[in-house]
Amino acid sequence: MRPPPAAAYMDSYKKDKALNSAALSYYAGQLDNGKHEDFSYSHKSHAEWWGDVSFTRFINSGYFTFGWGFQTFTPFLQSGFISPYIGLTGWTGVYSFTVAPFMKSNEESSLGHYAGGGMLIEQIPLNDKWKIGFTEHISRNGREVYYAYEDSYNIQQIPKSRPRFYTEVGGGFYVSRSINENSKMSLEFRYGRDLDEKRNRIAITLDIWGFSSPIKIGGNDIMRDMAQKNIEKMKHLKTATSDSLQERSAPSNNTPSSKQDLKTKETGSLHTIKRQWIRLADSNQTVSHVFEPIPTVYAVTTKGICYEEESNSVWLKQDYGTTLYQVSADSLDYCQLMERKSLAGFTVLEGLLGTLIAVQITGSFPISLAIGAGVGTGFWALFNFGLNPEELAPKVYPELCSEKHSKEQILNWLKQYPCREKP
Amino acid sequence: MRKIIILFLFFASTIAWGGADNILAPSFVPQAIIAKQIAPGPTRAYTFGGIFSDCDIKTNSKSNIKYCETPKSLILKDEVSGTNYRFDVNVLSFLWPKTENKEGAENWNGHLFGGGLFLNVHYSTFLEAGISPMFTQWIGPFYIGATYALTFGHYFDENKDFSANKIAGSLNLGGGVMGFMSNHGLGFGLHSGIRQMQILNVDYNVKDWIFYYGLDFLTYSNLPLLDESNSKGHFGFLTSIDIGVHTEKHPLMYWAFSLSLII
Repeated sequence: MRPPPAAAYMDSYKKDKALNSAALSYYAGQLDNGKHEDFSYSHKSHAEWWGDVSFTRFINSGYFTFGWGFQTFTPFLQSGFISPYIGLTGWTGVYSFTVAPFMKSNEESSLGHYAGGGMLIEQIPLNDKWKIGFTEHISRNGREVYYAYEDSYNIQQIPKSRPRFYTEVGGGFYVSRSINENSKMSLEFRYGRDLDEKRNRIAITLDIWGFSSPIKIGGNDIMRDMAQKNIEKMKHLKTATSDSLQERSAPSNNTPSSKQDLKTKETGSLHTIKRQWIRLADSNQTVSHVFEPIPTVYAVTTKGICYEEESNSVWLKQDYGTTLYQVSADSLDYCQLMERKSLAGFTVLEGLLGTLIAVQITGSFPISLAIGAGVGTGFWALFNFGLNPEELAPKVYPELCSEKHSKEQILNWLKQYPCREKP
Repeated sequence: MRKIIILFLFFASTIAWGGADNILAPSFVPQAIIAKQIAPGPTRAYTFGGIFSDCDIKTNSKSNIKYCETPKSLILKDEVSGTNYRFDVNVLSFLWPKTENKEGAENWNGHLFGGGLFLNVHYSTFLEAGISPMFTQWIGPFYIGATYALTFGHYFDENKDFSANKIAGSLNLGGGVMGFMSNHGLGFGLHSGIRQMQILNVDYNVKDWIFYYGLDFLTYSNLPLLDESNSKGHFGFLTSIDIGVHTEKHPLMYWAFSLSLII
């Protein structure tokens, strides 16, 4: 692995899109190739590669850039500080960083096979299209050597490629130009001094890069996607927060004489109920998670409800958070109370796993079965008594919300939970 | 939560029996993420990890020749190695400063000088459990951390003829750096330090300090879209790789991975 090109790295500054770069490098100078040595039991081919092809992808957030890619067969990671004029970057070969140190070898230290380095970059934009830059680097590079062993079993072995590592210091400069709105190219020249073998090497790199949408694996990317669907729905829904509709926990036979109730009379209040299934006409009517026990049946759960007689509408509470949304009373129906998913399958699985572990430890099948039964029972007790059943996953089955009520029945049910008390 | 327990038990039960156990103080990186509050709100980390340790006898030249070898009368192989899987969870945490805004914000960067004290419990394969107090403190993009593990275990030899109870302790001191990309909700970090490591079994116990370094990859959420995305709260998910390196005088080494859910 050799130092990666600098211009594309610098161009990732303040880019929301991901930068994709393809580069071709040509190496010249005192390369170690063309020689062949024969020894009594082996031979060595000096065959340093004349070039490399690199593919790199960068993502950016302001002054920090992270990149990954391949330099011919070497996967590497690169990251660092970035700004319009100064950049500081470090890179490392993935294998030499994460795998090689754990291998037993003849090297005295784990880090004998390390490839990586650091580079300081200064960039000067000349105008809209052209930029120039200067680089200084120190690195541990890896290159090819071919080596074959001969012994009494294998006389003419094919030489195998082996890495040789050396320390390099050097510097260079580059020129970059925009090709069009979405792509650029650069030509980079770099000199490096091999401190171990006292060689001078030159690298000339042509780099072309463009931009594309980054893959959405970030937590905020995922959150934006999840929110987008509900934000679209919210454009057509009337919503409020539960601060504006105060919650009260008792069902609706409170007396109007207390000061507390006088206040809630004016602003309205949401009734907190046991988590209840509600069937809706359409999945766009809600910002809660929609379950479909059978296709075309859209069911949601809610822990808060109130009925506004004046507008013939119902306020329901979203699964999490403080958002309430309004649904027309004509387009909903009430269903069963929510039940938690059965713990039977889970209990059996935990019991089986407990048995498996116990068998390995004790070696006795009857004792392991007893231990497995104990483990299963323990988990069942924990989930049954230790956790609030309303917070667990709901039981969804085909008959859920299949019973339809008449309009009168629905109205009578809703009138238990008025938003405002009648005087 | 349920899925985490099932996954761990599944892994634990499918591991081939045998070999020595590793004692290593847990990593402070998940706790450092909690202390930074880059995902505002979460105070607990559930971590599953594996450790594979070895001893490079070729680099044994300058240390005691018995260091990498097991007593030959009991076990045939002559090099020490070990495997462990561990499940770790915070039970207590005390963070500073307090995070008032748990909803998040568009430009939320966490606390510049966030820190915390934690108490974790862990269970390792097989029949090993322990507690670990932890400390971590951020200074801008850098953090320092310290953890100590007190472990109680019941160990078997390879043939299951002998078993023994042992208590062990391990200290981990170090620090790290992390870059956060809140436009995506991604973080990348490096950490390193020194750790006490023990490879132990019924009849032997090899202990040394080991220098390690590691890579971290974090995905997290902190945008003020909890209501819009119908989420209970913000989260973080951290993947770490740790490599403990061997040198001329210290032939022990290890390779470890860990997955942490921060909620």
